[in-house]
Amino acid sequence: MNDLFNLALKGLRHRRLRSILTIIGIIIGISAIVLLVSVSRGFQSAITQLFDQFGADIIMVIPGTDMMSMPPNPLTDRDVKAIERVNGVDYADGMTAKTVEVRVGHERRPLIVYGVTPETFTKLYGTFLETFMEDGRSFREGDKYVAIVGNDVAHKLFSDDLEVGRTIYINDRRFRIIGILKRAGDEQDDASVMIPLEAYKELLGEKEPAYLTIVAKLSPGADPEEVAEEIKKKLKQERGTEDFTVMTTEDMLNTINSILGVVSIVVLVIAIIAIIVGAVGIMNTMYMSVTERTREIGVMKAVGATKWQIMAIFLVEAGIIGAAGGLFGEAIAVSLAKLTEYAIVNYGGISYYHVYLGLDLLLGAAVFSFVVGIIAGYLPAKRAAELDPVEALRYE
Amino acid sequence: MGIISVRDVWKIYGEGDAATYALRGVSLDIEQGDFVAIIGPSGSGKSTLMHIIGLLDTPTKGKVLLKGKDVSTLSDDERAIMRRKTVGFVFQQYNLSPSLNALENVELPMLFAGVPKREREKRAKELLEMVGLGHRLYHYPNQLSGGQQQRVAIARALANDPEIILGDEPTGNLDTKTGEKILKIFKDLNKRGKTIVIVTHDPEIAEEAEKIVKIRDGKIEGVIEK
Repeated sequence: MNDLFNLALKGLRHRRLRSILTIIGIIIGISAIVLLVSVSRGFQSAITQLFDQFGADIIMVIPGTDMMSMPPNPLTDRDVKAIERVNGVDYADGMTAKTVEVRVGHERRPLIVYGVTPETFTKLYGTFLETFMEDGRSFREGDKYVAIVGNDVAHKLFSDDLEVGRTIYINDRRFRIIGILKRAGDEQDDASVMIPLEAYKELLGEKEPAYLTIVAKLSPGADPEEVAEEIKKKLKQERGTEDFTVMTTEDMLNTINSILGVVSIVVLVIAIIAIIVGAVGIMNTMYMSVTERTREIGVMKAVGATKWQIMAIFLVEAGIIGAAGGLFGEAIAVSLAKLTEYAIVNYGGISYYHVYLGLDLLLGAAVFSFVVGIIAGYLPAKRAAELDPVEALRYE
Repeated sequence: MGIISVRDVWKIYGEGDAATYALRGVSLDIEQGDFVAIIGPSGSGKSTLMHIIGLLDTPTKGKVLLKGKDVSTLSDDERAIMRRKTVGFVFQQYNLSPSLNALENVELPMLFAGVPKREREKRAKELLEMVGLGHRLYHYPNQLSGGQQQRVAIARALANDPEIILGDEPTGNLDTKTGEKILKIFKDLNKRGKTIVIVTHDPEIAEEAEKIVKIRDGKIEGVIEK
């Protein structure tokens, strides 16, 4: 077999340009597959990690049943109270937001300002937030005219670079910056400002803020699914209608993963098409090679090659094309994946993102490309094996 | 009983009205150590006869006996294995593999026979030295002259030490002087006990053989023994 392998390698080297071109076809397909799998699995684990930090003991309630429905009745303090009364809920907190004018010196910008309750906010997101703080601290009990600002607010939107301790004006009220968030990679998030709810209410004259989200923290040991059901029941009773959505951390994770899943399937289909094109390329090259070498095959038969030996030479040739394409493809995919990782970490703001480059993926892709080569080479190899030696020797 | 016996062999291509008769009842015995020339005009069936003798082809009717054993009913692979041990081919076009150097070309029949690499190389070198190409071991076919290529082909034919060497117009592509040298190698091999069968349309080459088989229209016209 080793000898047949060498023979196949010599055949490939003899038709170097064509072999390389065929290999490129496979490189494209395999690198696409490996890249897509490694990037999308990287996203999946980043999201899982994010939710792990976030905690499984959190339930979110948002107004509306889906994104398509009419603007629903907002969630209010009454709803927060109702949720807090549910068994298994430790405490709950609402988050509200409005676009408000923010001024630094003479520059004015309309920005999204969130109102949050300092104690619960820090209890809820404290540890979580620390990983997302570029500088400064989170809210504390008793904080009022202080703000945590998004990364762009601090470094991009105003001509001055804002630091912790700097004063900004929201609706012409003095606020002191106590924290700056890391880049989130989302334009809207990076351009937002968070202030304590008390200050928010005062600033906008809202006694009854309309909450965008209510977050409930569960008591230790409470089952998220059960509590979510209870919250649903309670709120429905309270509001008279089910015009809201209750999500556990797992629900959110599943939603995101299913979206990611659809995306990966679409991309994978495209990658598989690329592989099929590559495989057809191998088949074409091998058929050409068999036709060109008809007389040589006749000679090999004349000097005593069996059908299987002839077949093996051509199968191995096709397999080498496949495997070579696979290995080079992987090398390209690994470099592109690392580049993607760099871009996502540095420009996308997801500092904990890592592309997936496990041994199973790399080994799997290498074996897969070899197998693709063998399969694509099967019919041409069979044709070569079954050539009539007399006819083959006569071939011009 | 010869080393090869062809008994009333017919080779018919196609069927019915379209049928072409390449061989029409040919019988021929080739003895161990013979130097036979099969001569005839093109289309006479001489190549078909050689292919049948060389186990490359099977007769439509009739029998081929190799050392008394009927080989006309063997499968393709069985014939391939039989062929590699008993027959060596030398073609008019040399037919060397362009991707292999002289040494590797000579090794090829041994490779298919499963001879280990070291042994293959040793024997291939000896054979190339024997045909006077000891200094051209690593040259590729396109770096060799016609005569040199044919000598590599002869070395290749001898690789598995077969009893029979079949030459299909082995001097057809060479000038007279080179052709004579190649013929001389065949004669030397014959002296060492190899059975040689050469197919040619050239009476001058046929004259060199001990036995001349004349073939025309798929039938043997006559056999001249010297």
